[in-house]
Amino acid sequence: MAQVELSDAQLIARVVVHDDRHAFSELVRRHQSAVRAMLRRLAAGNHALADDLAQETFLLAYRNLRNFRQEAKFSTWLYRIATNAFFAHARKRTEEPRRDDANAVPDDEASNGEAHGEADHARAASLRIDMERALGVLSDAERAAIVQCYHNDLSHEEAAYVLGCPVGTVKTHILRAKQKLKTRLGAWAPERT
Amino acid sequence: MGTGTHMSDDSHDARNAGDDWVEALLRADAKAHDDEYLGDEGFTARVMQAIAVPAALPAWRRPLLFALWGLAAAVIAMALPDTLRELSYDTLRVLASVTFSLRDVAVAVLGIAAASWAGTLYMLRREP
Repeated sequence: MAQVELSDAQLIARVVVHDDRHAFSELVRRHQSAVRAMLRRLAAGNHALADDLAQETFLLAYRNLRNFRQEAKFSTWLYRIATNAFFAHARKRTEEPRRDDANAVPDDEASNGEAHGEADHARAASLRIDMERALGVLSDAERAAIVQCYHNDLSHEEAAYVLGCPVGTVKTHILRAKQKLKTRLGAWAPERT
Repeated sequence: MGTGTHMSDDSHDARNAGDDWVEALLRADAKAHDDEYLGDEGFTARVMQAIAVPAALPAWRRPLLFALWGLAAAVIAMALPDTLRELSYDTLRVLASVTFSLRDVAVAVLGIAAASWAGTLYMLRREP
């Protein structure tokens, strides 16, 4: 017999009303990929850190689920928690050196640098590596704005909600980020004829 | 997830014409990531395991809260014995000089009870 898949809202109601752990585990299963992937980009490819922050994100989400008023999508709310967790971590690690040098190798590189025979795949893999390095030179806020607007496909208003800042600030971060990326990704610029 | 479709109007405002290729690269990179799904690999189980631990907190947290409040009150009482005694005498003198009806006493008791219950509910509202 086919099971009816419950919506996020129904699962949330079960967690809030009955403290249904199975319902919450289903929510985690549904959203873990998007949250972890977003945090990997924010963490400039540091997968271990990203997964730690993702776990923290879901713990905070569980503890604060009663306060989720559904004025945004559940995924957007999770992005907000995850981004705040990342910023909190970033504030703590001020004494650590930033990964802004070209030698910083994202965790993906080793696994993606080989076995791509086709030219398109090779190009995509190469772009991915270069982009991840380039994102690494952005400030945390700029990188977060780029990740929310492009990778998470959020509008500027939604990104402002996630980042907890005015829409104008999001636009400024994106503009500055693009200028930096333009310099950093110069090799990918189309040749002028 | 798409690749920035929501932001087409706004992004034009914030974008220089010369940044079109950067925009295209960002979209291409986002598209490449869209096709990926990160396998769970025990992530959900780890989260649920971590959730199970704090669930035991309220069992000892509530009496501890009351004990701490009581301790704080006792410390204050011991630190300010004269002030408290004088305050008590003054209060008693005022009360003794005023005549209360049964209705006044009932209203006062109800008021104190309401304030106590409201305070207790406020303290406990976030506990699962």
